[in-house]
Amino acid sequence: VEGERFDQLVEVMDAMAAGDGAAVFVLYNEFGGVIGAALRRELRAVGVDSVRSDELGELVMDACFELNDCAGAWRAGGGALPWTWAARRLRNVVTRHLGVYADSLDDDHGADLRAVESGTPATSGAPEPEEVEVLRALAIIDDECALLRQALAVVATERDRALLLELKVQAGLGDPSPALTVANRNAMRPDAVRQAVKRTLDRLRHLARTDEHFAGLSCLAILR
Amino acid sequence: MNLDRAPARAEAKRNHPASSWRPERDRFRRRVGERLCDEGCEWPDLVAAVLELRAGLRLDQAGLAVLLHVDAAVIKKLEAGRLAPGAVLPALVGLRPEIDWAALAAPHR
Repeated sequence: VEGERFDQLVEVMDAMAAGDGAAVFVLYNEFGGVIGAALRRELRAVGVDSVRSDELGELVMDACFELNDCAGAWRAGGGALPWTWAARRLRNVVTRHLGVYADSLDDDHGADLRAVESGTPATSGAPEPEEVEVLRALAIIDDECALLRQALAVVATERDRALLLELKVQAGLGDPSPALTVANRNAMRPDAVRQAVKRTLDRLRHLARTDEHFAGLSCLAILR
Repeated sequence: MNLDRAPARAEAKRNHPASSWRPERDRFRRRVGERLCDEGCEWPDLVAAVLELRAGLRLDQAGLAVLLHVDAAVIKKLEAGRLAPGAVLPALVGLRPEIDWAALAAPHR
């Protein structure tokens, strides 16, 4: 949203803040598309990769009402678009719509659950991998790492994030069979590791292609 | 090496999910009407339609008042749900005859 479009957005937000009931129609008609894209990101962040168009349509309307209700607190000079600034509210719109949403349990999580039920320590729950911590630290000082970390949070589960980073580090260290090493470390099969990493990379590439905010990802070596 | 990223940016924008989105105007107007109803508005459907009309025309309340040949205070009261719509119905019909304003003006039960 740049130039005249941004000016129009500021005008709409100001009008909503002033209580002009017509402004929410302009917000919906003119900016519903980008608000929908922001909602898709929120949906992906909670593990929902696809949503029916009529469901997304309802969510866009709900999001417009949310933005209308908080318009008075938004500042154009703050540097964030309204739907980015109000991301937590949009997340609430999504979670209200979804209700309690959960991924199905895979073997690893099932083992953890059984361990909790039996009162014994979990054997499959490895401590958070070091690579994830390294990326978290680098994200503080490096914009590209921050973008990658943000994108991973959108497209991948915690486990898949870790697998991708572990595999890339192993490959970078010259390991001739990085998938085998990572698989052994995580009590998985090598092909399952490769599949998880491929899935994450595909989603990152798709995000880079379709979301302007993440376009910079395509320049990163990790995606090549 | 070609450093001009404009074509790539243009293609990315064309492929962006937001570019294929189309507003569902009737559904949104009904949703606004439902909200107005919850707020106690007596003529929620009519008020939602007037707000939508004004948004489409990009007019403020004073501008719509000029178009309908009424005082701005009339539009203000109408949109606040504090004015029986009878006085402005003929003007609204004159402006947008394709809309069934009379049906919209039925009070909420």
